[in-house]
Amino acid sequence: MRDKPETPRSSETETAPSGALERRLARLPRELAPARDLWPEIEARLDGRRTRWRIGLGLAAGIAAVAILGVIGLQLSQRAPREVTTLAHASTSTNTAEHAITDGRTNTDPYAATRAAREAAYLRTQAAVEQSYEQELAHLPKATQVRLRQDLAIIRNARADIRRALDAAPENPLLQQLFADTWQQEMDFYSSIASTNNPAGVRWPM
Amino acid sequence: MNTKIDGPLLALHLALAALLAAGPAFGDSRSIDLHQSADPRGQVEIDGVAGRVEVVGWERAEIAVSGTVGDRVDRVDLRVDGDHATVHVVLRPRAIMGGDGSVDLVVHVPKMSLVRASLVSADLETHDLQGEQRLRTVSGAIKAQLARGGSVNSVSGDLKLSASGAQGSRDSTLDVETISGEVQLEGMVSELHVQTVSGDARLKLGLMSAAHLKTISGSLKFSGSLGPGGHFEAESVSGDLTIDFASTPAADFDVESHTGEIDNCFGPAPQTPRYGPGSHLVFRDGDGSGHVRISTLSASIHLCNHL
Repeated sequence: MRDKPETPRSSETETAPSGALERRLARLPRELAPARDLWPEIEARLDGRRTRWRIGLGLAAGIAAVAILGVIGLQLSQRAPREVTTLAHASTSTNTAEHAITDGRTNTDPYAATRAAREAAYLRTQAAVEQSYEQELAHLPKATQVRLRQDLAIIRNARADIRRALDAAPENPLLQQLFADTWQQEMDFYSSIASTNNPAGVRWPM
Repeated sequence: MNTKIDGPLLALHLALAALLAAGPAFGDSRSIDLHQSADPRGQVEIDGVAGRVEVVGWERAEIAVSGTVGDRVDRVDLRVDGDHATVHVVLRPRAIMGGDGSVDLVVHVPKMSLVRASLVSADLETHDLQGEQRLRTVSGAIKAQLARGGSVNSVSGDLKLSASGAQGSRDSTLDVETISGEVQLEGMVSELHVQTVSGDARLKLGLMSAAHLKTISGSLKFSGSLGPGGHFEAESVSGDLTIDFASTPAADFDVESHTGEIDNCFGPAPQTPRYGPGSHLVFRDGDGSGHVRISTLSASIHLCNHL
């Protein structure tokens, strides 16, 4: 014969008078420390989130850099490229720039829209640099301004010449190198003007 | 008594008052003479707008600024803070009749100083300096003696440079950049970077380990020697390239003009396409430890091995 099951202790509390329960509750500690320090685990999880955030940011920056490089690569690889001689209109709106880029391309190219968007972003950046260049240029002597505009035209004409040559020989490494270098020289040109030190903030002619 | 000033008379009075306010604009140039003790190996920054600035190295641990300044120059500040000194030309706001904001200054600095000079249309000359120099003008010409390399930049100013850097020394790397100025460089540098847009470059150098020369439409003439394992690169779009090595470097040569001609006095004959323009020359001399790459879109290339 099995013994009668033991009455659970809890039943005592359930059956205890309410005054006794309140007394027992009052004796319980107000704070209960965890059995172990939980903070290191929490901190580790938070760090994990921060790391993921940083990775995301780095990834975004990487994608942006790849996009810019992709645009330059695109410039090199285009079979029927069109020289955008004036970038001012590219800064007016994305749509304008994208239209400028997609003009003359076949609609069958599935990557055209992606490339156009990338190139538009690049052109917007370049337009911003050029705007800064125009502002700095206004501080220089008139004769220097004229000379510099001629020099910028030389760079752009040179790039147009190279681009025409690339149309005929798109795989030519020399032309690709020259083309990339003239882009770089145009960027150097802008930065050279932008970094001209005008210590007194003088507008010319003095 | 009733004094009444009519419109034209009032305008005349106002104009006279304005001219009086612009009084300094009619003054003469004045002399300055400033002295401050300075770190013998510190940095000296110099800026100015117009005129001429000469920077001279000397043995003293002192900076001295002397010369004349135009009537629009408010003052020349010479400040020394630790190892950093500045010479700053402060202009007054432009007066109605303009005024002369130019300076003609001689700045003596400790000869081992690192000198940074940034001028707008002022001509710049440096000599007797042993430290690094970083020189920049917009339209002013630069004439400099360079002992330890550095950088020289101009937008449209001509550059006349002499270099005395030791071969193989990291300190004798020189960067020269101009947009439309002409470059003349003679002497010794270990490593050289030259870039122009339309400016011509004439480079007469000794033994060097690396040269990177680029131009868009300027002509480029180089004479010098390339050390063992050295790298030489010259590139243009439409500017002619004339390269004279003192002796044939032991190197791999890759010389190409897309639509122009190659004229070489050593190595094999260039290859030309059966139809159409262009020329290409590839060969190795010696152990091929160095690299020589010369390329252009449409210009001519002249390559020789005797000066």
